Amino acid sequence: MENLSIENTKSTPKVIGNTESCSLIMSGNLFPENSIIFFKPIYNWITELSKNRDQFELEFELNYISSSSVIQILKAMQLVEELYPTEKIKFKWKYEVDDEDIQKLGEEFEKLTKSSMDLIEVDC
Amino acid sequence: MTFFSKCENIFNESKQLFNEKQYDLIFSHFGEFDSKKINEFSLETEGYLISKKEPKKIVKSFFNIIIEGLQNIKNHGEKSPKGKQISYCNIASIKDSYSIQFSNLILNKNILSLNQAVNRLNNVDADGVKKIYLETLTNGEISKKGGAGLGIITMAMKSKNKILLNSLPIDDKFSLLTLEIKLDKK
Repeated sequence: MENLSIENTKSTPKVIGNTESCSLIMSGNLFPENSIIFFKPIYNWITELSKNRDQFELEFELNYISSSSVIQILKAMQLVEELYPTEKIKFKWKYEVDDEDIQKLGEEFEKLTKSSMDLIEVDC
Repeated sequence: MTFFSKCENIFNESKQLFNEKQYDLIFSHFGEFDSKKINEFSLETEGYLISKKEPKKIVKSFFNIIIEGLQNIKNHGEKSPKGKQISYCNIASIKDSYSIQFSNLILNKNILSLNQAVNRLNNVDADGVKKIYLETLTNGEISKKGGAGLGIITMAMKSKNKILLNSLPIDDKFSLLTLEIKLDKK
């Protein structure tokens, strides 16, 4: 299985899925024209990886997030929770210092999911 | 008067009204909003706020409102009988706030339900808006374009003000619907 690599644009993040570390990192802006279409290859990759791996780390470091993408982030987290054992899942939610909105959104995701989540403040 | 010119007149009147109120109109666009235009418009307006040294929190809230409003126009605005998207966005700077108007075509039969959705948001406090947001996030029916009605709720959350909604009839089937969002500068 190959790594996943999606280059960033003004409205979409850089996505790196690594089969060795069983992780997927999404960083940048997230307000694609159609969030369902944008997330489709990501869901496929996460699902494919689960056939050979039993642990997963999902990391987000996002700047602007559209409301339709918020739904897809939650769906991505829920998909990971369906496919991998809860104790072997790690979510990382990074937010810029003083970015209360992104911080609070991470806190909401933490409440809506069962797995361990690190809320990490970063100084940009 | 043609369908298009009726819409254009409403746009011109909206700008005139801003003028009369002595609002400083900083950005205005009439016509279509495709993805390229949304990206350009949103980044340009973000650059303007940064150049005005607005606090980061205001810049982020403003940008989020712009993205939600313009994607809402693109994804949910009705097309004219000639198949064109007719819409506009006006952004004005007032002394202590920004006023952002998003306008698009809507079927007359859909106005009532949108009015009810906006009234529901306007009649609750910030905690109430957040509650509606979380309910919609977890239980909302997702459309093919990925939305679930979160866009307007997000705008209400970021704005922290009441949303003004106005619709002006174009013909017996369509109206031009305007959402006006106010964002305080502090």
